[in-house]
Amino acid sequence: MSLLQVKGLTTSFHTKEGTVKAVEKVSFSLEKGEMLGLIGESGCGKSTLGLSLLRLIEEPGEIAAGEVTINGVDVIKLNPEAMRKVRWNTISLIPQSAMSALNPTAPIGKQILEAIELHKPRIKRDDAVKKVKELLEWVGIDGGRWLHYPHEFSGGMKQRVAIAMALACDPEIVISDESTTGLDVLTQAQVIHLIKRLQKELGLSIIVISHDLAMVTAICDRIAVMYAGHLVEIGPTRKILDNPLHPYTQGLLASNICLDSSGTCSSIPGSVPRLIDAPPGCHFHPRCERGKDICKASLPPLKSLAAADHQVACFAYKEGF
Amino acid sequence: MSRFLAQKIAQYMLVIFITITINFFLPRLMPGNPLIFLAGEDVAFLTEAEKASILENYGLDKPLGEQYTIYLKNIVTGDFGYSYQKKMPIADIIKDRLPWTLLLTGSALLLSSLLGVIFGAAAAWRRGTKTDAALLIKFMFFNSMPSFWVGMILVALFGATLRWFPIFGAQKAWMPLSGWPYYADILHHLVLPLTTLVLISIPSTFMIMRYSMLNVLGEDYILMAKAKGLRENAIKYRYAVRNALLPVVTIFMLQLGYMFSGATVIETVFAYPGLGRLMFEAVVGRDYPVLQASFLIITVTVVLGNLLADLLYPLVDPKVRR
Repeated sequence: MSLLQVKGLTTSFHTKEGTVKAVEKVSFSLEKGEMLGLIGESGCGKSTLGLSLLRLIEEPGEIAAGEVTINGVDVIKLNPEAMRKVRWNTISLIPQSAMSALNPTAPIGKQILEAIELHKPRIKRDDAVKKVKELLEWVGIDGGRWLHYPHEFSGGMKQRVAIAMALACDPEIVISDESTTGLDVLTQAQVIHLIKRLQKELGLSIIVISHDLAMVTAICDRIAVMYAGHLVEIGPTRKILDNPLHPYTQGLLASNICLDSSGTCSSIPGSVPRLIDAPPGCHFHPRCERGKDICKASLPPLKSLAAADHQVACFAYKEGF
Repeated sequence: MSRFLAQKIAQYMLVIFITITINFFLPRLMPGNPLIFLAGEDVAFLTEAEKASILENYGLDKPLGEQYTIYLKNIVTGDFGYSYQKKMPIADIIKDRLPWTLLLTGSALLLSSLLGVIFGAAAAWRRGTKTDAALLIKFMFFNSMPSFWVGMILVALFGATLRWFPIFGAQKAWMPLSGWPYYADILHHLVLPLTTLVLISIPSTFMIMRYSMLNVLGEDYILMAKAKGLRENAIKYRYAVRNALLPVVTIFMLQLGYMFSGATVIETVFAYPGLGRLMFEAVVGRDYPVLQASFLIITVTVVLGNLLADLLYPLVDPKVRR
């Protein structure tokens, strides 16, 4: 059985204009020690999916349907108190922007310490502090600085503190939500290297949410592509790169600029639809060159084609299309 | 740190010195004869010799530079001059009045800040609910009421009609008390003016706290606190309220200075013997030396309040620590 199994997950936001399904009928799984990349344009529901796994969706949003099974337990059905204990113990988060994700009025070490002491109430203060210092050293920050405040660190260091914080309770799954966005290239490389070490040295399962295609393809074992709230393609990185099936994935890969290539760079015409008035059927059909009538009428299911581990949601691979 | 401290104190001392200097020159720049200020309307009936003797008495016949030196020396020694109206040294009058003003404005500042923070945090935490709307409407109402009107309504209701509380003064003047009855009597007299002052002061703290807390609740570190699985109370107090308090603390510190000037309107409505009422009496009686001394006290205490704010703010905001 997979460590994490997501089935038919739908997250809706009830706005004044109507109900928006930011994530719709998403299913995938994550194995122990695996790194899964979740890519897509801004506003396609990647971060909402990540937060849904932690059940951190707030009013006016709600998880409308689906299952999120971690180690055989459907966490959607847990009561709030039980869910509180799953957070950080089993599944933790490296946030989008570590600049603002640390409490400015508390020392960084204490913010890590409070997570440890909360989830391991019997731990001695000295042992917990020792663990905080070890975690900081592990991400390359002097453990002696554990009582320093967030503003005394640089952006890259804060991001590393956030990674140390995510490890506080030895979780099994870590969600990295755009955690390299807004950093300079060298700092990005350090953070990416660190995330890779989480997998290699600690054996963690990681979901990397990003719109940086090059980064995701470089470090992830598998890739999931999202478009307008739907999962449109998922498969091993190699297969997605060599043989992208969904027209959106193909467009995404073609728009990626390579310095060593002939210099051609294309883009996908149009833009992501506002989900409040998303087109019926396949949400991608207005931008798709191969769109047919059936694409406007109904939603293509996610199906395996040649290989069982490579799935795509597109009618183009249906007989008689 | 000590160098920073010395620098700050030196800066503020300079400001106070300039304030004192302006306070000295301002009345001397006013048109007309100082005799009118000193002797009032009786000046018309004075002989030239009497006028000269008054001027000499007040040292006004000396050159300006010498007057200034004497003024500075008097202030340093706590001599603020003589009240023409009350026939008493001004320093003695202020010594009488200051404790009452500090009792009233000090407790009002503490209470209104505390209640404003509690209600503001509660409203923001329940944003958009009926509780939030009810609190907002209530405090907007009190915010738009003139303070003397609120005071008069309370006097009419709880003083005149229900007769629960005395409506003027700070204590029973005709009946010497001591021990517990003495303090109980002072508290009894304090209720109405204090309630009025608190009611009209809460709204500003409430608004600032509510807005600040709403901002903080939208921050990423609140989401992180939830993701870490912290309990609701820990998120509310350790994260949200703690960070939302910063602007409120700034306002509180600035208001500390204004405490000393008293609450002129409220003290007048309730005939409370504080510095605010002293100022009102001085205006009505054209007691210029008293007014001048009051202005000096207000400006100096406001400046000292700012200094205190500068020194204490690093305790609550780690970003400005050195």
